[in-house]
Amino acid sequence: MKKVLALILSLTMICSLTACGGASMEGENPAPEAETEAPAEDTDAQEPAEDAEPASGDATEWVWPSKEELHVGYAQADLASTWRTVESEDMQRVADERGYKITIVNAEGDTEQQISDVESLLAQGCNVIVITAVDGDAIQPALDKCKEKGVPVIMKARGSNGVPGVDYVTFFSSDFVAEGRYAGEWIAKACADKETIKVAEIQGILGGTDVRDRSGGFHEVADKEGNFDFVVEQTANFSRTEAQEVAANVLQSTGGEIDAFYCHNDEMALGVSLACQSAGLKVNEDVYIVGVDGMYETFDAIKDGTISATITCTPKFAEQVFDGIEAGMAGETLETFYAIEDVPVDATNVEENYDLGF
Amino acid sequence: MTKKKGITLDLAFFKKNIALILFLALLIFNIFATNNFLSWITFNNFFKQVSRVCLVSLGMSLVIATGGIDISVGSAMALGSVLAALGIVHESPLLILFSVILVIAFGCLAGTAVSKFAILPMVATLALRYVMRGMAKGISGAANVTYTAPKLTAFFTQPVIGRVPVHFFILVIAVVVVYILVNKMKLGARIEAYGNNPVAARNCGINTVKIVIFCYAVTGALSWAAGMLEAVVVSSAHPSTIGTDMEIDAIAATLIGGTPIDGGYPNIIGTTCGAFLLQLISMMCNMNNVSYPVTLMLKACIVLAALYFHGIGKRSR
Repeated sequence: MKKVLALILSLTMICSLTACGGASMEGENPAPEAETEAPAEDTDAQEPAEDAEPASGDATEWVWPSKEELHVGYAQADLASTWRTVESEDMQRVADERGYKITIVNAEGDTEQQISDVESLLAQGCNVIVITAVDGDAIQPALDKCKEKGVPVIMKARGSNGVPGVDYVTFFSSDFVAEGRYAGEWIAKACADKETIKVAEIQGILGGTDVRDRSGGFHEVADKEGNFDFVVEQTANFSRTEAQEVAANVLQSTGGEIDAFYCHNDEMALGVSLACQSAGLKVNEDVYIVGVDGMYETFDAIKDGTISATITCTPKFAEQVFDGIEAGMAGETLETFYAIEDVPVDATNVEENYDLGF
Repeated sequence: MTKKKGITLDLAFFKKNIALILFLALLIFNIFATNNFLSWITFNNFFKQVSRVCLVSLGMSLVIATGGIDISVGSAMALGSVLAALGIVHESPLLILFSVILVIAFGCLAGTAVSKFAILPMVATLALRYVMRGMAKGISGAANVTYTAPKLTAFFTQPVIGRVPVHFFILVIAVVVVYILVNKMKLGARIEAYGNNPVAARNCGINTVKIVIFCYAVTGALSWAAGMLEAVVVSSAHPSTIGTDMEIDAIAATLIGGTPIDGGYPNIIGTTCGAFLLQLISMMCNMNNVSYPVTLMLKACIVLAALYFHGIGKRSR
């Protein structure tokens, strides 16, 4: 028994060490704040428009309610990060402001729970359903239930792998590629006087669409500019402490010769900032630090001059979602995908964009 | 015959000191191969970074020596540090004290479940792993707890006595204390006896329940300390990221160090070297910009190599 257990354990451990960077034996998601937002693992969900040209006969006839009757049901995936909490609060706030009835439920990261959540929302008479999917595939039975009744479904932040127009109306999400692009452009502009820009990219948990796209967008710009020299590409798993340590190590080995750090989230940017400061580097003079997310803490750090810039990945886009619902009710045809426009924030515009934070 | 004896002796030496040998070899390699490696800053960085996994591994060695395993250490780090960070925010020393007691209490709970109610250690600590991570998230509202305590932060980030980081002293004290507990007191023999054969140990009149609870409790306390060290550098405790995958690293360090996974003598010096070795690999990969997947594969190779050497000794017995 012991030997078998020992064998299983060793194997598990070795597998964990080799195979998975992030969630090894995790049941819970170790990822912090904002990085998991939008379609988590489902790669198709970001670009539903291309492969989804349903024959007009297949398209579902959505039954939009009138403005007076509108009762929105929002099936939130979980409340396990500040990002999600703020996302739910934002939905509630906008619904209240516009005087619509809304019921919000939370699946706590459980797919089965989310399906029954949607069923109970339908039973409560919700006539428009907004879903932040726990899982892009497993949500399908819930979408089918809505389809039967013709209740319009809007995917928010985390999509479905179903067909837009048939399984759901449309999908609202942040565009991670654009975020990476903005970060690249910001660094290119800030270092315009340099011949080659020595860049350190501090990556999140490898394997997620967020990391893939935030890196992809950044590299797009790097390829276009042609003078980005990636001296460091290391992961710090979205953790502030790990980023601090990775940065301390690379600053030592490169002798501090790094022009800009690009971090896949703000937590890591804050960690890198600490490492740079203790290595005696002055942020915005010796080195630029750019993050992604737009946490209030980062905005404050930008004001203090300990972070150079951040690209927002705001959880507050309920306004756009409700605009979409209103357009649907007015009989307009909706696009199948709406990218949420994010903003590069630095010392010049931090005040005016402070409300995008979370 | 004599030749054969010589080989066995060599193997025994390798088996006992494989972690130390691999660590020294890698250290020498880095001194020549890595840019700016030989410096006080690297020394500082190394001890700041190795202290967490080393502390947890010490506890893990004791637990593994009893034939158990504790996969809740990462969650314990998160719960302890989040509570303590809240204590700092609200300027409540009581809450900080409570955070230590709570984490140790969970350790005792695991120990009791394992020794008294014969629940598999993996199962008992798996449950606690979810419970403690869940509590950490619940208490903090799933958001990171950031505090400002310049004096505290400076204490842990500024080197003392010239150039040595505080972490170095914390680590030395912890290793020495655990080493003495295991090697110079009866406890070590009792743990080993229990790990080798729980029934025989009980029949010899050893209070096995007490021994096991003690080991899990110590692991809890060390996890709390490791969590604090992770939080204090950045003045913030994040309930989701603190301590992730720590159990894996701690188990790996213990195995590299030569503590048998099915119970037996806890090799404290081995564990320490194992933790050092793992951290040195991470650091080396950072400093030479080796990609993360390769880093993990390197670590896996080291674990395999160490297990191979430990295995040889066993078979020849």
